[in-house]
Amino acid sequence: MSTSARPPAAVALLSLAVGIVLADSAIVTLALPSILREFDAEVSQVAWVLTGFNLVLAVTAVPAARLCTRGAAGWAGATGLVAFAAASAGCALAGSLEVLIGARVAQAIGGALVIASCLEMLVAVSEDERQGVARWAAAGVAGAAIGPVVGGLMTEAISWQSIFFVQVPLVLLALPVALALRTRVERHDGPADRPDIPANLALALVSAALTAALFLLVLLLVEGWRRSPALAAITVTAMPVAAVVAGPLAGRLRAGTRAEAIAGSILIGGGLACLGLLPDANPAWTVPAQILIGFGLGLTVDALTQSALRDRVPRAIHGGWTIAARHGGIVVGLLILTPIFTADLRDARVPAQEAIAAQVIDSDLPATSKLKLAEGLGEQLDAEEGQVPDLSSAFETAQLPASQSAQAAALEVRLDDQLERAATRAFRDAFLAAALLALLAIVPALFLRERGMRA
Amino acid sequence: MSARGLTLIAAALILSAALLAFQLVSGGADFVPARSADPCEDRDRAVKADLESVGEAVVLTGIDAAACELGVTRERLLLALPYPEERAALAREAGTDEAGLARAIHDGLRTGVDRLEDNDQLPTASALLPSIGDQLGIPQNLVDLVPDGVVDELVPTADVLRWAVDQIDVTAVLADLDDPDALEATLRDALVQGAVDEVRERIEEGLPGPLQGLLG
Repeated sequence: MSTSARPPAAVALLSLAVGIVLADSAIVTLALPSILREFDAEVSQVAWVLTGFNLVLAVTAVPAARLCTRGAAGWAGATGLVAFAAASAGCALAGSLEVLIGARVAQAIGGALVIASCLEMLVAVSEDERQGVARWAAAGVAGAAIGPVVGGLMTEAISWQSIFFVQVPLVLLALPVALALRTRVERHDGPADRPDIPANLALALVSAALTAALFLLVLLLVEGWRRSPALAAITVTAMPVAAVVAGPLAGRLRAGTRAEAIAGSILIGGGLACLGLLPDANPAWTVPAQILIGFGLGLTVDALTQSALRDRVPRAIHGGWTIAARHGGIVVGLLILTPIFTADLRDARVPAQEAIAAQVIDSDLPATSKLKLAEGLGEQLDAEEGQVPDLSSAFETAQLPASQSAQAAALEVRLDDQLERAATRAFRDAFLAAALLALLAIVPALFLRERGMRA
Repeated sequence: MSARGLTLIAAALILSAALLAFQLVSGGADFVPARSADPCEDRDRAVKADLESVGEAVVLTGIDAAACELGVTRERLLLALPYPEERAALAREAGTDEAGLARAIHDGLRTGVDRLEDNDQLPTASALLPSIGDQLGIPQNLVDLVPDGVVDELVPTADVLRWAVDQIDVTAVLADLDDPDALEATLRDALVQGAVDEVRERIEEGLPGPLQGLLG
């Protein structure tokens, strides 16, 4: 089915809406440290800004899709777009963490309606079903991959609230398209096919692993290594760029859905293992690993989504299952990985303190200067309990004589190195656990039906 | 599965393994905080000819010896000392109590002096005289009047330090650790007292028997 209302513009606006909603699953990742500080919360509490959205999106995706199969995709889409926009404004204006999490939940409900309806509407404005589904899947992959980068840059340039403000007008651009298509989407009254369990299970596992790639990597860069959100955003750009390149590359290879899913899982697992075994705290070291993960993301998510939707009716419900699997996977990933790295971060404190103490004791500063520094360092470590401390203020307060500035500067570099080592080590187990989740996706991927080659 | 599919999987495996191997070769498994050194092993420690450096060397070598005896790292012991609760926890961990901890530190300081002496790392008293004079406010020209040989004969550094260590009430020092001024005064007094006692003993030993009671 096609529409007379300028299909290219309609495709672009609907794809933009899908991209924005799915970007929201991770768009606040780089803003989490700012939110954490603004609301004086803990990492485990702030994680609910991500978890709440993804959990509700996973739970509501299939019911929202059912609504769309009753021929109400246009209305459901319009309602979802308005609800999502209103909830986004609510997020931007939230005065407490509880209100922000509540607004994120409302965003997810609106988002579920947008995603499910856009699948139907994109098929309606495309030449064929396959093309419509491909556009819907591609918009989702692009949104999820680019989200953290955009969120990080906006947090650095303006504020975390700006992430949500800007979504309001952008998502409402699709509203006229949804209203124009309200009578043009097919109604499905027949029996529904069973969901593709291997594809959805693999999607859930890969998504759980990808959570680590985005959430943990960003936390490592910003909180662990104390790099700016803007630098972190630029650094994690490698992943979406690789994901975008991987799509067409896979199309040319024509290796088959199963092979793409397995190869993609291996690349994601390998990349995550590399992030767990970084030899330095230079962000450049994360780029090759991110490229592997990005290639894996481009190969798996697209292949698995296509596999889950191919020849299954009603399409919207199976689209809903893929969304439920992906975002359910993200929630499972957060629930598994957050306790691992928060516990490791807590356990890293003593070795880090001991390493810092050893560096101070063994430095070539006079004993009186060491004592002055030790006092300031101890206060700094106590003041920033649970977070990686900034030790520079201890050096400023110690007011060491100018004749010792070279030794003090060298010591500060060594102390920062020890902190970076401790932070990097604290993320290792979570990255390796995430790598395992990605490799586990190979098991259901082995059972994927091979249904011809990609176009 | 097609040949292209197998090739794609093989390429994914090779790429992942190659990057992982490269990172491991570059030290990926070793990018962790520095581990504390074994306190039971002697450290190569440079000791300058000033009182502060000697005091630091004695304390650190002594803390090493105490940590070795208690079965903990030097850093763990040093980080615990300023906090009574941490100190008590460390003492429990080492199977002793606060008095045992104080004893271990005292014995450690004695061992520290012995180690530094055995390793020829202690400067002579004459080399330390300028910084001692500076600490006690004695003018340099007066210090220069004392012949080095006499000083080194009267106050051998290691013996003075042993005297000083014996003067220190470790329990009291631990209680005052949060007051750097009090700590410094306690250590300085112990050192001066140690030097005076050592000189007195040497002079007494050098005097004929009937005169030995003159110094009280």
